[in-house]
Amino acid sequence: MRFMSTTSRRKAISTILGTLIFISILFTAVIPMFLTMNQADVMLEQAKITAENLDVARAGESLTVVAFPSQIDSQELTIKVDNTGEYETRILRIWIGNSYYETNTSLTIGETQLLGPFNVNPHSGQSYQILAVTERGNRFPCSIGSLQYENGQWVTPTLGIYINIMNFIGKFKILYTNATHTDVLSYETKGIDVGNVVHIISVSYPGTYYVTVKVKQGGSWINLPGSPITVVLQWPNGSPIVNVFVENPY
Amino acid sequence: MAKRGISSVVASIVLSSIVLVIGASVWAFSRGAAVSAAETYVNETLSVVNDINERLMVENVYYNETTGLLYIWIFNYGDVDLVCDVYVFYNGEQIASTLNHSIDTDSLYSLSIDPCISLTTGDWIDIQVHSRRQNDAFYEHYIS
Repeated sequence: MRFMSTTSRRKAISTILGTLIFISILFTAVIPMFLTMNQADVMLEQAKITAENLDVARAGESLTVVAFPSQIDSQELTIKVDNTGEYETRILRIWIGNSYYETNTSLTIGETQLLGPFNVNPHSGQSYQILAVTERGNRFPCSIGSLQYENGQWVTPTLGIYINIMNFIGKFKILYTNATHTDVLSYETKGIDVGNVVHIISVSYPGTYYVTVKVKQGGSWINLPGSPITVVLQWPNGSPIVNVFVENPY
Repeated sequence: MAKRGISSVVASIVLSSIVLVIGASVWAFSRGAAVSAAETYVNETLSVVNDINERLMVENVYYNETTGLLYIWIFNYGDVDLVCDVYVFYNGEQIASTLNHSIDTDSLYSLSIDPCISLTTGDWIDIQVHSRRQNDAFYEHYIS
């Protein structure tokens, strides 16, 4: 028969107490510390994902901004904004020169809005850069460049028609004529284009134009669906550039 | 024969008390160290989170030839307030700076700075906005 000595009993009590202390340290200090650190790591990962998403959305924003006066000698400018990006976009401010106007306007994908008119009080000989600033931190300048105010009149640097052909592969011919058919122009792409095609037609005067886009099919030219397209170029009180979109289904 | 020393009960109590006192000390130290380590780690992580969430841009710049002052608008479009310093460069050389500007989140901040040289039409200047969290925004401005 074995007996436990007094010294062994004391050791046993100390061992139990030591174990209890170790377990209490584990549960009250070490585990909470690791849980807190783990929570902080989760927060960091969430912040990284949120920041990445914000940057992707920022890169996906695209606005086409065009400014025009209601009359050639108007003191006010109207801003036309097209959301051509992949995300709904909120415009916080419109800059005209070194003055800004709070707008807080939201545009869904593909939406077009007219903002203003904004009173500019223009000075002769002064050029005005127009900017739209979004809440995601993008700044979109006017796609036609700065507007110039000279001798009491607004001057646009561009007057033209932008032909956008949604294309997979093809060779194109673009014909355009004015309303009286006195000004006729033809343009043919150099070779077979792969991907979308953009062609800019600069015109001298505002008015009505007819644009026909043809695609070459088996040695002959076929009109693309929608051609001829009637384009009304109105300046002032309208955008000095007009975008035309046609699709090549062949 | 008379027994000398302390009884086994007293000895157990004394030994247990010593273990308890030392154990409590170790526990208090460990808990303090763990809390301190966790706080340091969380604070550092939050600081990194703020670095990640900080966003700034130079929204617009205007040079007034009459006053000779350069006006700069900075937009804080991030989720945290920031403090930044602004530097102006001409031909690659720093010509002016202004420090310690606090900008609240989602707000536009404007400042004016004397570029110390007379700028003329056709000049290009570079502007660097450097935040205290080591993020930068650059802007190239054409004097028109």
